[in-house]
Amino acid sequence: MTEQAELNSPPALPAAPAASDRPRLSPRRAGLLSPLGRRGTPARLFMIAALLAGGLWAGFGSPYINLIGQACVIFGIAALGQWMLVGGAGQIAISGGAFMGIGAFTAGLLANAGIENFFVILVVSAVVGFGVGLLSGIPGLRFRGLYLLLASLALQFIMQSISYQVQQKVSPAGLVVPPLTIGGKDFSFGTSFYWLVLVILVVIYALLAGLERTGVGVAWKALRESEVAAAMTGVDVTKWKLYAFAASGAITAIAGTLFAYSVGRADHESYTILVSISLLTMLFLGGSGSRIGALFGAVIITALPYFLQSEVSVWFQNAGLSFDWYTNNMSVINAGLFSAIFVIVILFEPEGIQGLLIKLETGIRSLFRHRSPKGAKGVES
Amino acid sequence: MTATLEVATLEVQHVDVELGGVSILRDISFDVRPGQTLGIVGPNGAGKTTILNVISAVVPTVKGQVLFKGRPLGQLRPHRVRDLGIGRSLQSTHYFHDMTVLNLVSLGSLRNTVWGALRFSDHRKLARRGEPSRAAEVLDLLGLTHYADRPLGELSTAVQKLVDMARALAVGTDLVLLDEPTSGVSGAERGVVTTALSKLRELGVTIVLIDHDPGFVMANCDQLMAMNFGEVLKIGNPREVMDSPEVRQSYLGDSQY
Ligand SMILES: Nc1ncnc2c1ncn2[C@@H]1O[C@H](COP(=O)(O)OP(=O)(O)O)[C@@H](O)[C@H]1O
Ligand SMILES: [Mg+2]
Repeated sequence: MTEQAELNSPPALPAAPAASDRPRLSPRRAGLLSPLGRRGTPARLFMIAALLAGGLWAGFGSPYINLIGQACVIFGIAALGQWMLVGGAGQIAISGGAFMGIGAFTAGLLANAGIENFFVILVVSAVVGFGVGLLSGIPGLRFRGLYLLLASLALQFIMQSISYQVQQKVSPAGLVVPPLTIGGKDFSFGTSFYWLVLVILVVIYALLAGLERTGVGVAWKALRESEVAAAMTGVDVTKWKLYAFAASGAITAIAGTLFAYSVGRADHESYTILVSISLLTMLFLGGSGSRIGALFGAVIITALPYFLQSEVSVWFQNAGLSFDWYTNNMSVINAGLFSAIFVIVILFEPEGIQGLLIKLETGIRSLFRHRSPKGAKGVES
Repeated sequence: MTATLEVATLEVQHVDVELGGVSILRDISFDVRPGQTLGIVGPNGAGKTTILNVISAVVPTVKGQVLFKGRPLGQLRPHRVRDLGIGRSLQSTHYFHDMTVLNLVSLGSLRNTVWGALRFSDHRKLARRGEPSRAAEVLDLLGLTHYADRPLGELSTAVQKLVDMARALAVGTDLVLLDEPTSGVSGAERGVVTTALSKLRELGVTIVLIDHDPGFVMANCDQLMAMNFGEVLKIGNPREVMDSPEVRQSYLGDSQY
């Protein structure tokens, strides 16, 4: 009996050897402690500063800028939802638009049924998004890469068709979503809606950042790197993959609900494959490797059409040229533009803007490194 | 012999494996007793990694079975095998470059439930509070503590190999499977890996050790199994196995290609 017990107890680990007995190994890449801090930190800080500045500008700027800010924040949330799946857990899907639609239609249907409490609507949307996300993860258990992408494409079209049918039955002009009120206070007026969605974005961002530090984030990271290696290391691949799809669905659906509030209705035409493509473009443009990159990409892609419409059209007018061709065909041209950006990014800078910034940073670092005395780096332990 | 009491930690019995319709392993049998190291040598493509894949349940068997402490592993999924206390290092260092050393080594203690995973971050705090954490102990043992917060991709191959070994040891309370711990490691740094391996052996960890370098395996195992073309050539005392004509022939034969 005692021998059996001995067999079962793990070998105890002895006390650590003295520091001098430990093997000495030098890291391959030196220069980690240069004046700029860890590699990638300055690039991140730049992006964070730019987003903060933009966020404040939208909050205190003109109503037009505020409107753009709203859209940027809402799509920022959707981009975070997609980032969680694509960047975080390494799965690929092109159904972000469908999940935004799920959130919007959940809000519309609930409002139609007389339920107008914002928090109830938000929670129900998240739950529905979670559930559908879980289901959408099932093909992910069997397929990877292109096949998974095709499965998500199918989901996109199924959702488009269902939302069309629902809209025809309930309210062909779109499901009305009433102005947002919380405890009798109107949040649809002035900048209050902007601040509300910004708070929701910050909360979701903070939750994701916190989650990344827990085992959930670590499991997703392992999945992203290699499913087989993750499985051999003890990660329950099936479970964490499904949760990634589900959580992504919930966040993206919340974005859809907020979008429906911002335009006052849920209309199936707003959640097409074009939205899915633009969401993926946001991720890859900013840098799919990080949350901050996803937000950065979301702001650029969301603000770009407004910029074209208001600023570039003025340039054209000043030059005596017509800009009607753009204003009249905006959605089609934007879709083409986003797809072109997507292809260009994938071809030339797969790490997106963040990758470009890090390259810039590396250049600046090499300047520092040439000046520092040679022996000062690479000393470890 | 106290055969009645001594349960082998690992028993592989008449295992056949086919992948994509091709027979990869045929009638593989061996066992590993507690605290012992079984070395497996064989040329590239002999099926060494596949044997570990069978034990860690990522590859199905056509025939035969694997017993762990006398119980068949059956149809367990890979993470359940980990839960039994079987740790495994990976032949390739291409994985997990974004993850920090501590995260990676702690991965083995990740509970696959939402609540368990959410509490995973407490690992660091445990160490700070002075409470024991196997990941921290293992890092300490292998002299990796000061790399804890570094992403794996920033480290040299030798350190990556050590980290991988640490990851396997953190999980493998009862059995550690090491797949080519010296591959890609330059001559000067090989000693570091050898030192780490002897520490594991001194602790009495049960090990299956694979390497393409027969000299390295021979010097670091209690039992040696030589294989080629998916079959066991010979198994037994390391010296005898290496000196046996059929093994010598297979190695000589190989050097001609
Ligand atoms: N997933 C797989 N599908 C088909 N063949 C495989 C697979 N994995 C390994 N093999 C084949 O099995 C044989 C043994 O591979 P492996 O176990 O990796 O050899 P070793 O580790 O001894 O070098 C090789 O011929 C390899 O090509
Ligand atoms: Mg191998």
